[in-house]
Amino acid sequence: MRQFKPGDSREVVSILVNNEMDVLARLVTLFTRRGYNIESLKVMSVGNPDMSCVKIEMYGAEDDIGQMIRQTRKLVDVLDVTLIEPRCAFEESVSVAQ
Amino acid sequence: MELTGAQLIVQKLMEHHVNTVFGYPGGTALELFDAIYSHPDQVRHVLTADECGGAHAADGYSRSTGDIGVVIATSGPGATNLITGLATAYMDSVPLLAITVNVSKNLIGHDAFQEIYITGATMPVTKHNYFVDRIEKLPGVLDDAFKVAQGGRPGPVLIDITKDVSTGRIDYSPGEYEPHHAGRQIRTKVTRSELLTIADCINNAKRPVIFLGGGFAASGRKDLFELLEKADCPAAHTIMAAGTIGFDNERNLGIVGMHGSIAANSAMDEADVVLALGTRFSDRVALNPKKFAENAVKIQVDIDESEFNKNVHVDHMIVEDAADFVKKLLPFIEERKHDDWKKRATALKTHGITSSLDTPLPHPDEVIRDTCAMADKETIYVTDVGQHQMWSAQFLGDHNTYKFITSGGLGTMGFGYGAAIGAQIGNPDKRVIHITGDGSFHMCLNEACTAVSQNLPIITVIMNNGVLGMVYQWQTIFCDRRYSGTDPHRKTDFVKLGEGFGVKTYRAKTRQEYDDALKEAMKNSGPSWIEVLIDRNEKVLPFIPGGGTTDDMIIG
Repeated sequence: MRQFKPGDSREVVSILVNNEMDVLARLVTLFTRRGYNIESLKVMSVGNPDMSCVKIEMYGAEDDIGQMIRQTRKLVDVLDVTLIEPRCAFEESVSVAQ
Repeated sequence: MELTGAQLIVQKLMEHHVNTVFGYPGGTALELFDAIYSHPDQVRHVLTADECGGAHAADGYSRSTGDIGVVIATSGPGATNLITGLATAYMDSVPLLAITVNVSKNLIGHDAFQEIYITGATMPVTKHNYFVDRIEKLPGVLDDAFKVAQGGRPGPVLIDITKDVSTGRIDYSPGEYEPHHAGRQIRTKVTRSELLTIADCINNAKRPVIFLGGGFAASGRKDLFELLEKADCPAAHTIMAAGTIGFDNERNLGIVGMHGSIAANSAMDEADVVLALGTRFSDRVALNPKKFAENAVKIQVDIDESEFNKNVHVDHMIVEDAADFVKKLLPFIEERKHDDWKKRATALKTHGITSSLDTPLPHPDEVIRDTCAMADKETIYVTDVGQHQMWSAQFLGDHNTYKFITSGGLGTMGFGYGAAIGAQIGNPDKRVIHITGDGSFHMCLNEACTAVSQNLPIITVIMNNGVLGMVYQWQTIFCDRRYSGTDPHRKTDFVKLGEGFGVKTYRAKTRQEYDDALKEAMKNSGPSWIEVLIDRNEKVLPFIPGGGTTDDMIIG
């Protein structure tokens, strides 16, 4: 598993997904098998019962983050992936899993 | 019309022009197999020895025909037996549909008999999978599954339905269903400005090389030769693209990578522009990713954007189907002549390194060359994994193009016989030759029962050196000849064993005996095995150890 290295940046990706029952397992499996640590993770409703938003905080070099975003985009139940400002990402108090 | 879930699956298979399914029945799959039984003329079921062989057969069917391969299994062990087959197809981007029937919904999560969470187990080895526990979802999921498996970068898809879905009833009219989510579409169209940039690179290159991967081999080769002529450059390829351009084509330098040719690896080092079409620069190709084609402007064309900068950093990334890209690029390419470069690049060209071992037994390159010389040009070659696979990739070269089916990404020993069965069923008029080693063949020889019951004229060439040759070779070079686990002292008599299955069998100890046996085997209407004895000290050469460069190449 990839550990934090000097020069890594902390990034948060916001992932819009179809609200399928195993979509969280797919995301976590993908991060695990590609060798990336999930620092924190949060799932939120988006007002549309068919979709959810997952925010994942991770550390990595720029290339690694780009690679992880491209891998995440390939999941069939992923509708959109964006990098967001880390400071804004986890203002809400509860983190679902860590 | 009102259909059961099982009947709906068969209906959807027929709508998607699937006329052959591989697989194995079982308790939960009872209704599904019953529904197949009602349509013997439309959907042919091929029973394999186990589900793993069925998955490999669907894979070989797909690779050899270009159509989707379908495999059906029951719950529990039937489903878990698919995993190696799915992983093999996933690593080589082969469109496959696996359908499994789980226990009834009311038993899910209760550790019921033969219950397994197969969608969870196959998440990392499928492009996508579906768990269907409501019959209303089934039509949409089936249509989606075909689209996902075959669209973009192809891959295997698994649908797991509960038994009660297979027995439940639904009012179905073709074309009317609630679409399931098919996911976001990724942009896959090259722009004019990208084409101009790439054409500029190639038009101004002094030492260009076109490098072909499995993605190109799968997407079609028709404009390749025009591009090679116009840009006047040599080509090299991965194992996955073997056969796309024949070795007798003067421009083909051969394979790049660990067991690649001296010419192809050297050309990569010297090139100033490398146009890579549908290859991911795997660790067996770019053994040292930082030094791979380090003097070249690297252009990577792939339908999957996640392949860019994954293994090797490239200068230009184009998201596009590799064959479509070549077609679109052609009008922008100017006629060039690179005589000096071509001469230099091809000067080192040879097949793999032929054996100089002093032995009365046939050399591996002789076996492969003779096979190639005697077989029809349309022959489909299927291999297992190991030394025989590399010798095949190196020496099956004289035809202009040929079909070469091999487990490149996962390196699945035991892939061969199942895949050969799928290839022969999908191509009844073509010759299928399965080249294997004694190690790999022990992992899939149970599929002989399928080849016999279906009366398939597959010729299996077993290159028997009595050891697990590829690892044995590594141990010779790296482990001071400490042959741990690779010298099994097996006493398998392939001639008697084959006869027991009902296969025509031959044993060859000399080149002449092999040629005679092959000639005889070609007359058989059913399966044949030819065991050909080779020396255990034969090596696959050249050999660049992992992490190495052309400078580290071992050639003898």
